Amino acid sequence: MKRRAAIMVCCLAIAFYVAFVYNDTALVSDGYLSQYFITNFISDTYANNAVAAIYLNYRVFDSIFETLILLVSVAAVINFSWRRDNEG
Amino acid sequence: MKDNSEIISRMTGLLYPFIILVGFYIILNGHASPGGGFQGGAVLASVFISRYLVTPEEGVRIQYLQTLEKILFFCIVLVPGLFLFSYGRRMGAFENAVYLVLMNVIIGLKVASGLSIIFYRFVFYEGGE
Repeated sequence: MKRRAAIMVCCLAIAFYVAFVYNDTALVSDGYLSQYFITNFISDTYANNAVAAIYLNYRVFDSIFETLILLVSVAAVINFSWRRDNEG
Repeated sequence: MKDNSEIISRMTGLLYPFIILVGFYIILNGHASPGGGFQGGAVLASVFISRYLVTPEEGVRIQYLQTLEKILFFCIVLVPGLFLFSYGRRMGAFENAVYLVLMNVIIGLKVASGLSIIFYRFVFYEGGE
């Protein structure tokens, strides 16, 4: 019981410390990256769709990890089922 | 009184080719108009889901979809790697268009197979006998 209280206090202290460190971040970014994407996506990627240029060229690692998450979720759904005849 | 409605099952069966066509159109034109791999993949998954509305008593073999999804994930990791490591030639408009369309197709098929696997797993395995 005391151990749980001590762990909870530690977690709350870490949470407040992180919130204190990031207290002065701006709510709205200064738009530098979005302006770069909007003005340069055709010449960089030869794509007419800005969204496709971003998720296939500028941020392709996010797409790779997104598909990895989909694969892991399929594996989790199959793994956590109660039926044991998985290949039936 | 049958369980599934005759009207819904027959009209959904008639809509199959149109949904497949719209799904592939969204996937293949994702580099030039709104759409892309993820969006078109969700539309293609709705074909598999509506198959359950049409014939709810037929089972489906998921093993092919599972193998297909693993192969497609391997391709999704491989194609950007080959694209990024080709510093010999400068990538022109044609190579970039090929890369965009290919990645959209692979991502769309993978999303469709993943969503339909999850749906079939829940319907045929968890929903009781």
